[in-house]
Amino acid sequence: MNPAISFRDLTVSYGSRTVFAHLTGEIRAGQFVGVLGPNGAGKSTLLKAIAGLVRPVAGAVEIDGKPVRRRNKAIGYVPQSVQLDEDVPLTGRDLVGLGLDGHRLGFPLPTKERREAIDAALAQVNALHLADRRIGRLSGGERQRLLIAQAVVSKPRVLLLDEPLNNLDLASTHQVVELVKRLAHEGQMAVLLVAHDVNPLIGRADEILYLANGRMAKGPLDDVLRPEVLSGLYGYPVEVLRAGGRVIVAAGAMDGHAHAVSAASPEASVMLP
Amino acid sequence: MTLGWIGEALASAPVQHALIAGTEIAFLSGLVGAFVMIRGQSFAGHVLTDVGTTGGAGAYLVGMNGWFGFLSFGVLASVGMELAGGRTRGERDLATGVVLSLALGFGALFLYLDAQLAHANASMAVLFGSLFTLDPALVPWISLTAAACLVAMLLIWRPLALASVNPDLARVRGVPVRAISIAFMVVLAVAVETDALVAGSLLATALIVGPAATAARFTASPLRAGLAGGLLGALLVAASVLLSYDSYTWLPQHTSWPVSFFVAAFTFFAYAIAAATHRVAFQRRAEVELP
Repeated sequence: MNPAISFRDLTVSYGSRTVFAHLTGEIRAGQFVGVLGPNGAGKSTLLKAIAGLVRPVAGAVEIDGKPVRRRNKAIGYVPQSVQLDEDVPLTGRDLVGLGLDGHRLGFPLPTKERREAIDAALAQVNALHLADRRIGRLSGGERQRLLIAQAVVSKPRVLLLDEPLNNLDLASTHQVVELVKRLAHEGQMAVLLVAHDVNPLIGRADEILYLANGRMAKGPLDDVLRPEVLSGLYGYPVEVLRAGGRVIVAAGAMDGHAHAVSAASPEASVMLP
Repeated sequence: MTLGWIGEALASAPVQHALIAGTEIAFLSGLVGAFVMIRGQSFAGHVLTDVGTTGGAGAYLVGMNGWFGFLSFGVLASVGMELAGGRTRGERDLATGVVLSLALGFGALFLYLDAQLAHANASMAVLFGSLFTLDPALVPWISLTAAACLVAMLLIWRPLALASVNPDLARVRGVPVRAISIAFMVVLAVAVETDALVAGSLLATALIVGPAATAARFTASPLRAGLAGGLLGALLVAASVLLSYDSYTWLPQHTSWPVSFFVAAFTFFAYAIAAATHRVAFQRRAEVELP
């Protein structure tokens, strides 16, 4: 059986700058993969290349064994957020419905099938009670769950989430990651989730795809987040610190100190608790 | 007080033309207004009227019809803004601001030259509207344009909504996001610039944001808010036209009050009443819910 997503020799450039080169990998149906790496490493670009929104200069992407194409209902895409003022007339049900038939001309006619499909997607993300609420009056976590329902209402084979955890509080972060894990495993979807911080993914993501310096490492979390693997990617010493079940990736000990620390990327300078 | 004056007003050709053109474009404006809210583009609407001022004032200068001046500049500016703007809302506003200052500079020049050289009344017509002096030959064209824009809006309704809330998913599903954004900006330009004939370029956006925002207080559905906003706008304009006609007899000096004044006043009161009713209803609900 073909993997849900496979990419071979994938190379993407913006002008003369190569974002990443010769990436090869595959994600099976039902597999939940977290995409990590420093800012500018091309995490979102990889997602867009897989979705067919960015044309690679070399290599190819296949969804279910077929070259990726436009007009694709097999792919669900969740953006960072949806920003609407609180009085804007658009409800949860409207938002989810657009994932079903938003590409069609005209305006939506209220049929029984449409209503049932939307209700099913809302139920999948535990958001039936948000159906008639205005998007602008919901919390970040509630909006994110509706965007996920919008992406899965068309029953896609592949779910791509581009930094869906930004701007979420800790409780919502865990709720959303747990939901994504359940959707991947129960719905047999191949899921790629781009994140800044590895910690919400620990024990939930099946694999980590770590992008840095135009290269990638992919595998179970404990196989990828190791000093020798990440140092090889970055091309300079990187330390992986573990404390109380949490993981911190730190720029190397070239001067004897680990510094410039973040939970996943040595280039950020935030120390997380 | 008798209502005989309404029959008298309706018999007058300028009033008929004003009612036809005014209500049609007000309906389109309300529909467009729902999407202006969803896309957060009321700033772009204001810019289009400002650019339209330049076009309108320029048209009088060269002896062209004001509507064509408004329309050509507005449509050009809308496409230009969409093409020049970046992907983020901030970049878009920046590009918009640059277009705006250039246009306002020329607008000031043209209005000044109008006053000095061509029409003494041109600046009044451009800034405050000219619904009663509408060229009768123009009325069918306004109707046709409004109808075409209305059909276009209903056709692109769903892809435009998806492109507004989740452009990447829209692209995955094959929606031409760029083309559809430009199409919406052109429709917005047509609506705003024709509103400028009704309410003047100073108040044209009142008909875009006011009725839709009022309707959005009562319904959370974009389509219903758009349609209700359109109907409300059409109603406000019809009432404004009739009162403006009647106002000729209000002062001993016999001079009609401008339509734009009534449009602005009605729009404001409709919104204020809606906001007040909504607040009362909300508070009552909150009192019940809290233990």
